[in-house]
Amino acid sequence: MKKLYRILLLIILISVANANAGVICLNPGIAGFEPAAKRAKSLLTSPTNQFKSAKLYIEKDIDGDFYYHSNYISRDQTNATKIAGFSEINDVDLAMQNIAFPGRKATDIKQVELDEFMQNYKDVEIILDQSVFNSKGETNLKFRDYSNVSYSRRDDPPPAPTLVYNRGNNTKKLLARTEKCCIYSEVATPQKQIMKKLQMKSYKPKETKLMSLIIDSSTEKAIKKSNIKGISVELDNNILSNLEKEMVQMKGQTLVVLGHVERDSYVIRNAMGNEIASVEINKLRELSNKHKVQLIDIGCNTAALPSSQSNSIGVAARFNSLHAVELLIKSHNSSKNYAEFLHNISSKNMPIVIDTKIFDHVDVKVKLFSKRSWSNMVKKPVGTVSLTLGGSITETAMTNYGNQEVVLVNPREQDEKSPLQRALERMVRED
Amino acid sequence: MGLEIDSLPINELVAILNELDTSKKSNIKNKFPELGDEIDPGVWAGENVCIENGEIILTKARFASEVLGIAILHSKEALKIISSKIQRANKIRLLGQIGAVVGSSGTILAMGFGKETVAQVSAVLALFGSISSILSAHTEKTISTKTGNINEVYLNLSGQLQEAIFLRNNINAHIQYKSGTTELVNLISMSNELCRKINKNTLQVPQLWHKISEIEEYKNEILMAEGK
Repeated sequence: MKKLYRILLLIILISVANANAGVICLNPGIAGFEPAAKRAKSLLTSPTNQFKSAKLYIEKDIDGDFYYHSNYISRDQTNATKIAGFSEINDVDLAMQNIAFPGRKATDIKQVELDEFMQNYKDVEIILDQSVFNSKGETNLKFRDYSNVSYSRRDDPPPAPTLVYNRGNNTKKLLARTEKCCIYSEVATPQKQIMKKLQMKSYKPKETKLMSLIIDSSTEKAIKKSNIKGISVELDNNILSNLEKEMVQMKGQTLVVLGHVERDSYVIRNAMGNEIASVEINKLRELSNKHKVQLIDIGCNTAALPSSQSNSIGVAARFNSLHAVELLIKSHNSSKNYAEFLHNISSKNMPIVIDTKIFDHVDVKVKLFSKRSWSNMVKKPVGTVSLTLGGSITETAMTNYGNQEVVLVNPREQDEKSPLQRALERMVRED
Repeated sequence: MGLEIDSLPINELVAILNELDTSKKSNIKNKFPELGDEIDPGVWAGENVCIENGEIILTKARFASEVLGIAILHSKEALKIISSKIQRANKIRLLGQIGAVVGSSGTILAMGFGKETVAQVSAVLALFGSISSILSAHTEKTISTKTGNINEVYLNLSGQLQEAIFLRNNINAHIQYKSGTTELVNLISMSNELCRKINKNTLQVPQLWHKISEIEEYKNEILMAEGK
């Protein structure tokens, strides 16, 4: 196996050495890549000659090639290895080999060095710059099986921890952590803005219903004991039409769906393991959009499904249904807004993934107050408007209302200052 | 090589096990380390297609046999509780009916009491009849009225007890004589389905779970249930 690896390494090194456009640099820096090197140095720790302590920063240059900047100083060298301009190197494995053994022939590499490399290279911390991904959060960089990956936005250091999850079609996707443990979103998403949106949307237990598509006595018992309102629909192939009747009366409310996912559908199996019904997740999402119901999909890898509407909340892992219900009950009873709700419902075993356009279709009714009467807030509103939480909230609020000297207050929770109210207060004060 | 099957759930068997007290539960769990997280209550929401090798199927069969033993005991205890409830309800109903019949039969009038007294006693007896009818109905009621009354639960559970004994004997025989895994897969699936029904019915008898947790040696009881 190791011999095979040596041969492979030799072929790789030769092929890279033959390429003309790129450079494997052992000098202090590469001309033209100074800004990239500066960004890399700000995120990497001090140089090391221990491969197990190595870190690797990656960004994409204007030609579409990847720039690799490590803090690893290889044998007999004084500077850390850097790689630029190789269109061939879009695989982190290949970059790692060239960082560890720059310019060396495979026959010169000692077995002990190779062993150390093989033992540690998958644990090397990789920091991916935002340029590695396109606006959809996709990339052609291959970084399969690396567990210690983080994502860096240039305007938002330090890098956020990430999660790589399987999309179910043999491709993997990188998600950036939006908040503490364990809420994630696509890397191209402005994380702060998403959290703001979640904080602005109040969580109302009375306006949240649960539909369980799981046939399991332990799970059912836990749900029965809880105070979460349930939707009981016949678990047959008419689920969608039955559910639509319920959704008509749920406009503006939240529906949590707990189910077992196979491929792109919720599949309902009886106790013998036989499939008795299924619901396509995207059809369920379309239905919820049609009736303006916020859907929270608690199903294995629901986050992996591409959604045309892209405003869902899903899970990026396989999880236990009873564990999910326990977390849901805890969140249901102790959350004031959706940031809290999702924070409470997520765990290392149940990472939650939120889509970029989450709550974009949800309208929040707000009252307008004159800025002059700020000290006597909520006394006499000058009007009421419906504010859609879509796009950039700050921009929307400022563009439409900022110049009119108004303060926006959520009328439903005037007495206890809702997160929406607080967020809007902050916006006005900043203004 | 493994047997490729869509799924071989044991979640309902686990749900029965989960009603035992912590030490007994962990004793049984420790016997089946090969089952990993499948022995946790709830179901794992993920792709179900899996390769079950012969060893895992055999472990699941041994687990099913063990849990069916507990289910047999649960059902027996539930039937005892239900039976006494039915008897109590019948007694209340009988007394009420006697009272109502006496109250409306004119017997009191024949005894020579005054008209007013007769009217009062008759009214009280009629009221007693109505109340007893309500009380007996209440005694027969289960937790969830959707799943029927206690008589239905009794009938269902009696059948399920026999089915559990039959399945357990069958599984044990297949394990002992090392017959094909396909038969075991069917028996495990049927056991899981049966345990769901037993769970549903025994859930109607909340006193049961407390009683079961007090029992130290359930194995002897199981053997008795099987007539050994």
